[in-house]
Amino acid sequence: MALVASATSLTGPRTLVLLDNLDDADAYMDLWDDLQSRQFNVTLHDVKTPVSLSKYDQRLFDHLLILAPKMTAYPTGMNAKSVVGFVAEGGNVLVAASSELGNTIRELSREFDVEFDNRYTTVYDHFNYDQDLGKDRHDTVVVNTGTHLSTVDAIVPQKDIPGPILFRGIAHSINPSNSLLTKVLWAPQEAYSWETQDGDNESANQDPSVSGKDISLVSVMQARNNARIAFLGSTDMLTDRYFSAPAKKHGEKISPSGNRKFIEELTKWTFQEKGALDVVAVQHHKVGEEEAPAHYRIKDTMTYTISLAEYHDGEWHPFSADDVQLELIMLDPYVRKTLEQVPLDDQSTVGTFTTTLQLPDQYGVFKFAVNYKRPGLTYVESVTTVGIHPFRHDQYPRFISQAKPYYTSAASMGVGLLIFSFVYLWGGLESTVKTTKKA
Amino acid sequence: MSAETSTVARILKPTILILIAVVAIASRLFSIIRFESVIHEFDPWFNYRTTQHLVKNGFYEFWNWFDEKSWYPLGRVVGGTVYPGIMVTSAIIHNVLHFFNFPVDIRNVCVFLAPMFSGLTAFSAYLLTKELKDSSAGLLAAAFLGVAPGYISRSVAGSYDNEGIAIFLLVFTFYLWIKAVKTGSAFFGLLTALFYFYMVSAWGGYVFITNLVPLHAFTLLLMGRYSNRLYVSYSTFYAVGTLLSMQIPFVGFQPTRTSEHMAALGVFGLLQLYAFAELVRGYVTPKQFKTLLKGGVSAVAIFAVVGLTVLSFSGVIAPFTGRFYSLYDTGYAKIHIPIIASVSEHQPTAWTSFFFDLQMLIFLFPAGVYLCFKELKDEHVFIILYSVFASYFAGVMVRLMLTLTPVVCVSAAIAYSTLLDTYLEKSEHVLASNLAGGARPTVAAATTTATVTDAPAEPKSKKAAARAAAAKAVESETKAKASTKESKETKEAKDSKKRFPIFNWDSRAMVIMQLTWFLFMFAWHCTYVTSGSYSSPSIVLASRQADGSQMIIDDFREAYYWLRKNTGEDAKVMSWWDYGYQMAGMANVTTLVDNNTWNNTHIATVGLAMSANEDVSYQVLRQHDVDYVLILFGGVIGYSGDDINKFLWMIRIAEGVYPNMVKESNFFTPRGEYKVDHEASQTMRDSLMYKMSYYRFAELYGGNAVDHVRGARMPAEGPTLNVLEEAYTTQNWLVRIYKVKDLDNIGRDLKDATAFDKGKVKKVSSLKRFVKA
Repeated sequence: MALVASATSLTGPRTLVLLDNLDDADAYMDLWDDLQSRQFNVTLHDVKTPVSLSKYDQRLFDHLLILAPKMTAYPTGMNAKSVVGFVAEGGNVLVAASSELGNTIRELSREFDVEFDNRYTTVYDHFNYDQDLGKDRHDTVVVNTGTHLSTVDAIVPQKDIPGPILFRGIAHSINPSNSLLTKVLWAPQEAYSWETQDGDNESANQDPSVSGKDISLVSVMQARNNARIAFLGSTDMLTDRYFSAPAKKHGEKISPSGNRKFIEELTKWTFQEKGALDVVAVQHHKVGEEEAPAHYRIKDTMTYTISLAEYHDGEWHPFSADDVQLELIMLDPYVRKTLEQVPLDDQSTVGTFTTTLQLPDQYGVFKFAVNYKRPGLTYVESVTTVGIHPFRHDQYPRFISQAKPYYTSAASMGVGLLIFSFVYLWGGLESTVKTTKKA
Repeated sequence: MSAETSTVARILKPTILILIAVVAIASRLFSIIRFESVIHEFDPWFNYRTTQHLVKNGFYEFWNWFDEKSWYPLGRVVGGTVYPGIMVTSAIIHNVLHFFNFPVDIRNVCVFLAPMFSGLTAFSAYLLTKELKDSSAGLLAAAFLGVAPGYISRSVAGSYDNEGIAIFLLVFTFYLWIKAVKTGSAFFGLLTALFYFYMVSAWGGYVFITNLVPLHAFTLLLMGRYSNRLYVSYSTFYAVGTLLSMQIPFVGFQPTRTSEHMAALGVFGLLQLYAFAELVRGYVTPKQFKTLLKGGVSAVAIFAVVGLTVLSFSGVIAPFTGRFYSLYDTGYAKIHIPIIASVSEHQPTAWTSFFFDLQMLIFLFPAGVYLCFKELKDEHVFIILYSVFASYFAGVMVRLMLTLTPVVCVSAAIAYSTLLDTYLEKSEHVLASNLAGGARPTVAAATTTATVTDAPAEPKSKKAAARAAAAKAVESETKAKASTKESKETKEAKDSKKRFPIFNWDSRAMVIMQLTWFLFMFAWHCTYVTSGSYSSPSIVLASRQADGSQMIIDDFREAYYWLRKNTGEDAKVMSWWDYGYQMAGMANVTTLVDNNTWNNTHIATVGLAMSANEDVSYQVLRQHDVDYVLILFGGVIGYSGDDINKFLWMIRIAEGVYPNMVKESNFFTPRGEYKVDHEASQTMRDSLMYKMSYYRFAELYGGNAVDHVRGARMPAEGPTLNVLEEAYTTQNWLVRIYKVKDLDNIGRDLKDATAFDKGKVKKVSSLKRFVKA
């Protein structure tokens, strides 16, 4: 707990930065400052020096920044498998690429369903280029945050970005069928991906491989274990130069670039400084009781309560939402109901969501599941398995009105037998009896 | 002389009966001596588990037990779907022993329950046969039933199944019924009903009683043998028995609804009408009665037919169920209900197993039935009906051999004891009794008393018993007959002595010796079959090695133990239903399907998961929260009862419910063969079952693997598994357990993830694959 308290990241402060060359570090001084001010222990490393991400199945780092686009081989002690394994153990990764992207990063990204364009291609835009940085080649794109930035505020809140974002680098696209991926920043309509001038020009008469909104500039993935991975098509956008440069787009007034704030918010999200949810408690019980029963009975009325907390700015806050649902599942959902949030007050440390419902007329083993997955937020998957039993033998009604004719007949039979016995034994009918016996 | 014999007999009879019981119990203990005191097979494990629950939690918890650990996620209402007789019996024995401070473990009570009851069965066979002939035949019947393999097959120590006590109840109920019919006593009718109730609580085979007894009554009616005895006994039995049987939740209202119970109801009604008609007959003239009878009969017939039709069509009376049809047409189940046909004990019986299970009894059996015809009292009619129907059903289903065995033993005992009577007893008495009964034509007379005493090679006790019994029978019979005829008969006997000189002591000795030899052979055969075939617990296998030493194959328990120790208590393990009870009992895990095959769809879903390709299977596995999959694979040691051999049934059952997803014909080669080697069809190779069975099998033999069950040479390159990973494989590869993988952490499909883990890098790629055209 001490570790978590000292760092603003939920998962820890240990950060490894992988650079093509240690000298490159000078270009990112502002980024290091920002990270250190948020209590990260940044370790810089070049790709030549051996390094390993984990030892004895324990992570040695909590976060990994790969700012080594040219990398053609992993440092000794690392490989694609170990990076995927690092993610599987809960480590967060930020990958920044550039036009000179080597195969190593490309193949790694491919595992995450992120495909970078060919080496030596760049995103060009002859309309939305920056008049300072992209003066010659129109390769620094000015991206309007109002229209080309994801509206998922949990990742990067649109309104907090002071200006347009400057981007110079390679295009990528993401697999739209992979629900774990979210596109954060994409290129303007007029942009296209084309070979850089230094490359050969053989394919000049072909169409660009990807253009317009199909070009992803920044994408993020939240893995199923809630580890977060960010892909940036540009290393330049992280540099001091882009952080401080004003965005000058043709025909628009000059404004400060939003890069620094954008990268701050993106790294905050990626390194688990915000948007993390936690299930604090799950309670369920019959109405009028306090304790969770070992099992329910069909048609019981019961109350289900789940408490959620959200992590941001270094501490846990109550989570509030109006779309948290409870499902009662036995192969199929039998009940699906939106939970109501208990109103928050000053004392609240958690957001409490509750509902009261009647269980279905079906016995079996049910899962009480809250499956709350929203982009940018930690996946909440809380499953409580509880059996719903049929009536016990003594829980049925003892007498039912439909059976009254049968009760009557049974009673009359009994009475009749008694009367008959009396008459037979003491009624003085001996003579009749004898004749009957003979017959 | 006769007084002396009866004193000896009075001591000998109980002694013999006790000895028979001891032999019956002792011959069922092979499995414990060979292996250990364990519960056998499949169903016994469920019975054992429920008994444990009963002992631990008390009767009411057992009665209301909803088992969340089986048929996940449906659950099973155990209290309402079980015949509780055997569990309650064991629990009572256990509690009584504990009350007297005998700390016997419930497992041992369960293991030894069936042998103990077999002793009682022998005793009831004695009683039943005594009612039919005499006590010497009864002793023979008891001895036969005590060791007959047909009964031992379901009652060895550890075979803790319903049949273990049900056969005793069957025989004893029949004894009580015969006693009731003979005496016409409501008391015996009531006892019959009580034991019928016990039988209903113990075994589904009670339907046999509830049809045979009415049939007996009906036949007697047809034979014009209606009597007040029959009326009293049947009415008491039916009214009380039916009400009692409805107290078992699993039976419930079936006696009033299902077609299997209609015969009993119909005969009950018929008897009332008949009795009423008899009553009326006493008060009216014959002519009037005739008119009344005609009118009454036609009215009742019309009413019954119309009523039955209406009730059947409106669904109040359940139509005949599939299990019922399959008793008439052995091919029915195979076509319509594969789940019934897939059970080996529901297969038609091979003729050899009649000899195997009954040995010499099977050829004495018709002789006994013939002798019953000769006698043909009410009780003999019963035995004849019993033997006819039981023979038929035993031919249809292997497991019904069990109901046949008692009647075979009884009939054979009658035949055998008649032979002994004829060839052993003092001439005059035999002759007298024979002719008095008018039943035994050719067999008559012998020479002298001395011959009998000298008759060799007969065990002393048996001889004495037979003599005593015969003497007694003779006594009673002679009493019953008019004494005036006696002198005439004796005279005739002397005549026949002259006519049949073959009854010299030497010829008698030959017959007796031969019979004794048969007895020896029978005992030898029974012991051999019991020890060789019926004493294997089937959870532990034994095989002989090349040097003759025994090798114990204990893979099942190894696997279950692994599951018990290495998976969470709420782990869900999928397997074919055969192993459901064992897994629940031994591994204490949650199972999807088990031997209580109540939900065909659920079983078909498991069949689908086994027979479909990995992608489809994975969906099913995820939907059912399956954590592990367990299969049996006999390819390494040649165990033929493995899952690949059962696979066709899985496919058939799955096809019945999911005809669009599974097709049996796709699993065969183009030539229609069921192959697993390189000729196997693509569907076969893609199926999860095939992949699980042969995963890494080729590696075991360095790419030169031979499946020892199917004698197939396997391809050098084995199948790959993407959605499962091998969790455990037992020593002899008999049981293989696979863990179901989670969805990939970063959203790849599991095939790619597996390839990546093996170091393969995705090469393909253009950026455009993600861009919509």
